[in-house]
Amino acid sequence: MSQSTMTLPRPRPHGLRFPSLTRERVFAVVSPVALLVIWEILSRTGVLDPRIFSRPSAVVQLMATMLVSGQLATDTGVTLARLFVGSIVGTIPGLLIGLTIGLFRTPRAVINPLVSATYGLPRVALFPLVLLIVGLNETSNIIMIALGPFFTMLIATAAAVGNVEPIYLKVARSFKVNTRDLYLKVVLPAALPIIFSAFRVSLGLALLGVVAVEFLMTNNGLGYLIWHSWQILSLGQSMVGLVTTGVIAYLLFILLDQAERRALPWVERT
Amino acid sequence: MMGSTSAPNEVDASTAEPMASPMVEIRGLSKLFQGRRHEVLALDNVDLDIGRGEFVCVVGPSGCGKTTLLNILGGLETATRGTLRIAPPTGGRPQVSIVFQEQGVFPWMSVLDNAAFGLAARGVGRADRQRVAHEMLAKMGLAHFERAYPRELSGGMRQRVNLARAFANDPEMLLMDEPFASLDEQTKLLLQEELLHVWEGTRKTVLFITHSLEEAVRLADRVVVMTARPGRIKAVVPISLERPRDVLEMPSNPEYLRLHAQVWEHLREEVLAARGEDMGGTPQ
Repeated sequence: MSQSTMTLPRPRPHGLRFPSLTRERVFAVVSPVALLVIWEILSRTGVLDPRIFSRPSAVVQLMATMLVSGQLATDTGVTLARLFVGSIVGTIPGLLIGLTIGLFRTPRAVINPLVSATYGLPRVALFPLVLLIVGLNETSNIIMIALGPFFTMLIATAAAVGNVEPIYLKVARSFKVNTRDLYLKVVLPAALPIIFSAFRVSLGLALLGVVAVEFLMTNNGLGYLIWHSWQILSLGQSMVGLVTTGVIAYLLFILLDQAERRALPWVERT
Repeated sequence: MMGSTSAPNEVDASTAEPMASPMVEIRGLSKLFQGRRHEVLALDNVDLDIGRGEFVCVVGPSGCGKTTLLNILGGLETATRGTLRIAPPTGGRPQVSIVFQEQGVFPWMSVLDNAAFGLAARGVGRADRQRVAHEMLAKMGLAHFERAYPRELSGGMRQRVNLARAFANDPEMLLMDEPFASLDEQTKLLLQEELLHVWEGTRKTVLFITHSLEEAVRLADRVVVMTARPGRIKAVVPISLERPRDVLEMPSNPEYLRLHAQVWEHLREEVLAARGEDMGGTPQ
């Protein structure tokens, strides 16, 4: 961009830049590390009972053993697969139905009462019903995981589409855009930031769903590892499952942040 | 109900543009809004002709129906009574394009795509519409910002994008709905200057809604003063200032000051009437 006498917009970052050490970035590392160090000290000095709160160093050791044995990788793989499939199975229909009822009055009139009737139910309460209909198998697992993302995407998308700034619609109408362009070039992009936020929430709910399903229904995956190990009082292993799940969640949301920045470069961020 | 007793001044044929075939012919136009409790008469029996290539500004107190008038002309609302005739467009052009306030720029489109939006909506091919949009943006001093997103621009620059979008669409007539209302005073002056500059090059018919008296006198060939609700035409003041005009030098121009005073004379009562209504009182 060449200079002009007008105020220039902030240059867009390109390539890798060395991040400056802001307070937020420093404590993003320092806070959790400090917590782990305190934890380690407390259990070594006997303030915390190591039989209940396994030491961080012991958890890391156990994690290494489980990695070598392949057990942890297997459980992680199973959990990730369920998370992935469950998210897609919930998100995509939720998004499509949400768009439809956000845009068109008749589908909205038909579907809204059904959504209101079922959305209020705690989703775990639907598990027996799903099992009854589908049977106890991987399909029912996926459906139960997908329920959270499905409802979240449906409701948020419909609201996002229905609440697009009126001035955008007015501009579009004044230029007499056809219906297809109105939806694809105006309504959808205008709603996209909220849809993306809904996707973020959906992913969190899918992770919750995976762990819940693995607690209750399966004999593999990280949720099973956490719950089963706890039941046989193998607290270290339970802790390894918990830490691995935490790491997955953390990486997932970093990835999502990056994806959002790429997908919505025009959104103002603080 | 309220308002002045003076009848709307008829357009004086000697001062108006040649009226052989006016661009716009409005006769007895009224607009009634059906509120939940009562009806609101926004426009009451409005008659107005706008000549081809004429720049008409409409001023009036807030809520006087100026925007309603523009929306009816732009096809966004329909009149309750009366007739509106706009000359049919020539050469495949659109009849009108509307310039809204700068919030009307699409934040998800680059400056170039924003400026080309009207053309895209009409099905103009990508290469052609980008060329036209580029030319328009260059005239507005935005050539270097085509790839930027609106959030990266100042309010004044965003409004330039808005103007470029409307001009690039090449309509027979431009409708501007208080386009500079939310800009600071200096930016406003610069944009008025640029608008006049671009307009001189095209001489499109313009209907410009504003609540700023200064803006109206600086820009217009004729200033239409509307009454407080219900909106009627109170006076039409021809602005005989020479073109091309220098917006920045205008405050020292005695003719400008005289016209300013003349329009204010008409507007003052209406502003006071509107205030009375605002404060819950009954205007005399």
